[in-house]
Amino acid sequence: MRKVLTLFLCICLVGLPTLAGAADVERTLSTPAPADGSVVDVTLSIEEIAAGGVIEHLPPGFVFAGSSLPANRVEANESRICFALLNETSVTYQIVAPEKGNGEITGEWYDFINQINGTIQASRIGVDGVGVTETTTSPGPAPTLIIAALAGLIIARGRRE
Amino acid sequence: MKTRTLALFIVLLVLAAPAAALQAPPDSSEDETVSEDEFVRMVLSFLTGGEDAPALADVEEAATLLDLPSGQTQTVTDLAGRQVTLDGSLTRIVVFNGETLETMRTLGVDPSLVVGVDKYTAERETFFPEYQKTPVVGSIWAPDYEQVVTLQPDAVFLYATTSKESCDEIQKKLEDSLPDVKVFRFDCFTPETYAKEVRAIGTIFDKEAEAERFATFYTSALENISAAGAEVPESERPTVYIENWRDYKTGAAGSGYEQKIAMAGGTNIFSALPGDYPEIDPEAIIAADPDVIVKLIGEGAYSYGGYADVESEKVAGVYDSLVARPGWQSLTAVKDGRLHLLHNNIMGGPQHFIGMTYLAEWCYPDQASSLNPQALHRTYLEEFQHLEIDPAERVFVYP
Repeated sequence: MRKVLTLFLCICLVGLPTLAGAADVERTLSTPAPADGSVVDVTLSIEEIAAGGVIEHLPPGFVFAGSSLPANRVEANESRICFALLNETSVTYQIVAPEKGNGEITGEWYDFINQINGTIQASRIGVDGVGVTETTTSPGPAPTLIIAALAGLIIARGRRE
Repeated sequence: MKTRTLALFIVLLVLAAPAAALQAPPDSSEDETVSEDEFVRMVLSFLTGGEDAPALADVEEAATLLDLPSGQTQTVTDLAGRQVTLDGSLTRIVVFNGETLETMRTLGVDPSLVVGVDKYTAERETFFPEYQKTPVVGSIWAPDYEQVVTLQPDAVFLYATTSKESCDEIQKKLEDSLPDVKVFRFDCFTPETYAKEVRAIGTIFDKEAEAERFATFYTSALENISAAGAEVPESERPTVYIENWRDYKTGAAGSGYEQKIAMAGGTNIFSALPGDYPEIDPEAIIAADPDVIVKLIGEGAYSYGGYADVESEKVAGVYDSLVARPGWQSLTAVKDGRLHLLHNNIMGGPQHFIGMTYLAEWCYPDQASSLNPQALHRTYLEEFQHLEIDPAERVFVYP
């Protein structure tokens, strides 16, 4: 009975960060295979971030061309775009495809109020579809889930002993 | 076994601690807040990195002190009486009426929120310098729908009563094309409703305190205007003829001029004419022999003076041409030096209270020291428009 209680307590503790904030960011592209020089709409769907930020990294040659956020909440250079988030549920930005090139758009997000952060699943993009394959990178804030799973395994093993 | 379980418990407790602590931010006091602008700058500095970038912990602490507008929905009633529900801050707005844009500046609304302006605003380089690079969406008479849709606004501002049918059509088309767009209808030029509009716009942009401050300033100016002739019986009030920039076109009982003349303590000599803005027989002016004559300039054939025209040497020529009209030399107003030119910049839009103060001064010259319209104009430009324009260096009235 004591072991069951311990297991319950451990699961509760591991679950706390998740309860405190269920933030997440997902990225969708209007197309992963744009024509040379065309504009791609990149939409970030944001869940439950009241005060946060996103950094997006573009593949070489792709150029940031504007976003749905006010200008004072965006900083962009050649390959990196930073967004300050205040309660947005989505942000759309535009990138212009180069003559040729491909790679991954990668990103990170921060929820400053809930003090958590994570990565955004990488999106492959290639001019005329060159180099576009299935994505392989896993999304964000897995550490707590991994720890929970480990805790469960250890305790279950203990029970068997 | 017990030791292992205890160790595991401690590890989990340590991992969970930051999350448990986050609901009670360190060093936060009830009085200490971080503004949205400060926070945004801090976040971008953190994200972009560099030597001066703040630490993650500092940004997280600032987030707990952030003075964010509540995420709750609120309903705003616009001048057309429409209730519009807002479920968050507006971030991309298109403004078709310069009067509302000027009012937004009065309230300190961030110009970067404005992603589209009408063509007349774009043409007013001196008065709206911050919108010279903002995309233009045409006008209420020739809207560029494609441009508006491309800009993906979350709100569009249109007139409530001016060219109502055109604005109704624009509203309908935009609501069809952009289902989530919020449309607000305001005029921002009528004394009767302006303070109410200011407060509603303040609510839309979470600028209630700024709206209240300006509404107090504005209503105090109107009270000052009304006080000038308050002791004078109606039958003894000076008679006034206002002619707009189209020759011999005036305002009758249903016009905005009627209301402004009455508030300034005068009597409109053409109040009883049919229609809101009738064109009158020149002989009727001679017959009425008004005490005060005001000619509006700055539009149409008289586009001289005001914010845009620094030279303004042609204003005196307009005055001379009026004096030279047949029969005008014998008019009481002309003989007494009570014929004045008034620029529409300070009579037709949100600055109408400045023009009305001049009108009250011309009706009651003995009250000039308490009215002081030029000082009022200067205060408005400095404190509410944040423009470095001295009204004494331009021609808004003549003589």
